[in-house]
Amino acid sequence: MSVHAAVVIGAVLVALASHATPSEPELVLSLTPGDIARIRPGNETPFESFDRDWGQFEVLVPKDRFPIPAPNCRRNVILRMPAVDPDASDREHRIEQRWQMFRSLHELTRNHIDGVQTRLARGPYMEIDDDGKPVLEYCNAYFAKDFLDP
Amino acid sequence: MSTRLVAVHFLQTIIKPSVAHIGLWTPAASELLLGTALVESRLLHRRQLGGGPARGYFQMEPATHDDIWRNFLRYRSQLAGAVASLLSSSAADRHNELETNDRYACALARVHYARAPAPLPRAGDVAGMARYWKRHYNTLLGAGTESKYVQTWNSVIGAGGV
Repeated sequence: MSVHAAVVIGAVLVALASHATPSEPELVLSLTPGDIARIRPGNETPFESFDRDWGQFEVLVPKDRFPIPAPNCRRNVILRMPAVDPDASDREHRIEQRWQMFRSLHELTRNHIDGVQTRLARGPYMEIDDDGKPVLEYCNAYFAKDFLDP
Repeated sequence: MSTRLVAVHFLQTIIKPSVAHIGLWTPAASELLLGTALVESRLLHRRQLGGGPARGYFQMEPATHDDIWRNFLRYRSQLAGAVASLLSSSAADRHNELETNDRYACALARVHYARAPAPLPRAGDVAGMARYWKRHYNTLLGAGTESKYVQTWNSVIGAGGV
């Protein structure tokens, strides 16, 4: 499928990141308003609650709108932002970055912005098929460590 | 039967005997394992909701199971023997046992915690248990939260404990 066609039907897997490493290559993902079925927790979540739960959240994307095939997934791909350890030295900065992404995604679902671009981690739960393309083993995908810098 | 009664029954008939059998029983360990089973599955779901890889009431993934055997139990023959003796048979499919053999699954969960570098929180410290579970069992990649652990514990067990 061409990138142009993917724009029409859903989220776009733009390219392999140029600075990807062999141990953790990463993928750039573009999301538009219709690509998101749900975000957990919801839009009303205050920063204090987000912070208390280590800055993690999930974006549910219908599998037919997610650019990486998920043949074993029935409905939605769960794109999860990993938590920040409360003892991490740069915890506040990382929580703030996650909060920015979380808010942007909610703004996207409300059509207040046109799109969000981010970066996916390759794994866990991601395999490479015989054609060298990524495939999800289950319904789980993860934001990359440098998710704000696609 | 109420969820609390189910939980207490699970503690008495599954957690305590299996963890004692492998020589790793403490009151804190029992409490942490019960909290883990409750928050991971509510003692209801043996398969991961949404089609993920986790198995059994402790929702352990086969990859985690294999890593415990390959990189921990392999070097501790006495403990490995005690854990293996909980299998339903020596030829049992171990991944399947995670889902169907609660004593084996519980022992593996206890061993998983035994690999964590930090000591267990004291018994009765629900918030401490929640943080310990999130950090060492659910991990940064898991969907669980400390607040969910505490909420689940309090709603099922209550402030009085077990």
